[in-house]
Amino acid sequence: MDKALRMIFSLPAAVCVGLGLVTVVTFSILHENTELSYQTHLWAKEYVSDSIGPEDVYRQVLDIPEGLAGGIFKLGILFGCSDGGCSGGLSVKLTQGDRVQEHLVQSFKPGFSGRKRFEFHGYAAGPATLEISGLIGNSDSAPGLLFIREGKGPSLEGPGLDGLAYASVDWFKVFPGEEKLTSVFPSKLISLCWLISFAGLVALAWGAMKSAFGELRKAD
Amino acid sequence: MTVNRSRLFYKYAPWCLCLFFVLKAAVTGIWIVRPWDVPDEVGHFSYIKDLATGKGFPVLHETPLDKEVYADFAPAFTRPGLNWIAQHPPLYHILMVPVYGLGSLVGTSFWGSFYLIRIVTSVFFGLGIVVLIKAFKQAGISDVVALGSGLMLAAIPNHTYLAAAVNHDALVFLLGSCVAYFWIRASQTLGARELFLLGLFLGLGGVVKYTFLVLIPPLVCYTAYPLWKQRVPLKTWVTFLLPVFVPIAIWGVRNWLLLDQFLPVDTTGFRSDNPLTQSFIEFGSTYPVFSILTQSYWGLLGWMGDTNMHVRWLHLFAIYQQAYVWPVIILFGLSLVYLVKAGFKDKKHLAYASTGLAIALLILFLSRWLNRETWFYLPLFVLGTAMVGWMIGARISGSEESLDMESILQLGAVIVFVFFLAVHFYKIFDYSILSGALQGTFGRYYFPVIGFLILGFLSRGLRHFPLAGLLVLISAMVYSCVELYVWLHEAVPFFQLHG
Repeated sequence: MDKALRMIFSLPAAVCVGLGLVTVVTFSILHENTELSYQTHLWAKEYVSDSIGPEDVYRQVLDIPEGLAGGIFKLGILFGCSDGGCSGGLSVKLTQGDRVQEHLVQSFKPGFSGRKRFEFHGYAAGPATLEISGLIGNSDSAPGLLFIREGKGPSLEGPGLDGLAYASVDWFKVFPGEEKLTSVFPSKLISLCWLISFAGLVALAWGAMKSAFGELRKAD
Repeated sequence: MTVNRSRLFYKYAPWCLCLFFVLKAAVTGIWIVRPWDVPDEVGHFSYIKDLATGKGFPVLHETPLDKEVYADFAPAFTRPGLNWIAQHPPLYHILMVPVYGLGSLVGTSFWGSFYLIRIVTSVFFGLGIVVLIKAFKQAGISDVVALGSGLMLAAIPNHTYLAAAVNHDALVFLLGSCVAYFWIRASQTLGARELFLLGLFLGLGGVVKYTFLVLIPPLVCYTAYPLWKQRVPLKTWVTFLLPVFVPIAIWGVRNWLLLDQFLPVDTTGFRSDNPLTQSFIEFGSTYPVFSILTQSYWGLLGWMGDTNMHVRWLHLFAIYQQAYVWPVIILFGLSLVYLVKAGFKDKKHLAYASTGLAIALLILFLSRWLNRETWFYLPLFVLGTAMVGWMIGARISGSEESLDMESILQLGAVIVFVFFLAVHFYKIFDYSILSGALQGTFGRYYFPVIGFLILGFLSRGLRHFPLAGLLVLISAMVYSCVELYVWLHEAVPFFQLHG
């Protein structure tokens, strides 16, 4: 038993555990993109449009921020549902010159929170047209679009809007997982140094476990 | 591990911990955290540059931020504002003057100095952890548990972040750790050397940050009581008290001559046309102050590094906060269990301590101060309050159990921490009332009393629970992995978001 404990918590084993654990965590993070809120819509009273029917199209020219140009970003668009539930589907399209990307939401799930994020990539900074339209088969229970009355620049156009309106749109930057280390550290060696410091702390904890078991046995 | 090898391991392990921590913090500070993205960094660096370039101490409400520094901090704004950091006492900035000089040998700009100061500051923090490990051992906590606790401290994102910063908080942490260590030794021996060093570190802390001064009343009173009972000679009193008050007195006189105030504080940012109109009790039940403090203790990253003078924070998500807080809650719970267990030996002790516990919890619930607090922090606050009540009750009972060294140290640490918390809470209330919004709720303000928090609220569980070693070591490994996750998954993208 003693021999086994000595081996499990020996220095080489501790180094292996530290490096192994940090490697696993690092690789799992590097395979995962991070979404960060980049710009949010104005804090103002929000209104909800009529349910978006099959023929309805809501359109607004958005200004793509400089910091999101060329990369991946998400648009968070807010919808409102009557009587606590939504049914029906929507198409969300972003157009800039020849670049057109479209997302279809076939049906809203029960418990839908109000905001949906749609991913786009490769757009340049500047104006792009956002179009939100209803799918065939939408009824009165289809979701409506949330909008505010205060804003700047081109306004929202669409059926049933009375006066100036602006879609409640939030911007999220998507940070690719694989760029997380390379974007900050100038060389692999420095990345390694940084990761080794975490591995070293884990290895120390692992190495100290031998005494923890020893104390436990003493207490018995 | 044989006894000798084990001894060798525990001799060097804290230093290895320090080395890994400094390496982690330094690399983080150089490549991940942008310049000026740490609270008040521009003010602290400007302060040091003023001293290093012979301009002397900046004067509150008079001295502007350094022009060259400001041009990098906020290029779009031409006139540098006043340096509000001039309100702080100067020890950290004085210590950094030679570091600035050394750094300026690299290149012609101030960046060599800036990054070297960040690295040296991270050494302060690393040493602070080593001293705390020593303090825990001095208080009777085993080697393995003390090391495990140090490893947990080394894996908190806020510690790494503030360690590698041009900011005096790391030095505050180091001096707070030294105070905890020498307070334990002074309580155990009442020796003149220990008392002198306790007084010295208390005095030095006071000339790094005014918040450190809050430690003086409870520590001096609690230490003075046994000295008075032992009728120690006047020389011992002088040896103890002189270094406590002389440093801050010198700085205070300087302030008095220049600004007509002994300890001036910049409160210009706290004035508002719409002040709050709430009583102290109402305030406590309206805002989740304790949750915000705890939450920001684990990690509140970011400041004004985007060159547009916009403050941007990265709050740790609840899932990360929970990974950090649950082990602490378990240790709080264990400490309470062992306190209660010790109380069963004596009926009078048990009766008084239980009454104290009941009264403390009753006051907490009647105050409704937990109304808005985050659910996963509630056990922490309830257990903490219960322990305070129990210990006060036990001490009033005067039983033998409450007079052993472990209980004396634990009660003293609790008194220091609770006094600090009470003063800070009142300052939060005061500033928030003036400004009309919640102010000053930064967990980093607790750096001087982290040792006291652990000694007061966790040490009994750490000492007596047979599985404490395994618990803290496993927690330390979890903390390390969570910290890596926080930095790589959240903080790296955050610091580049508006770069």
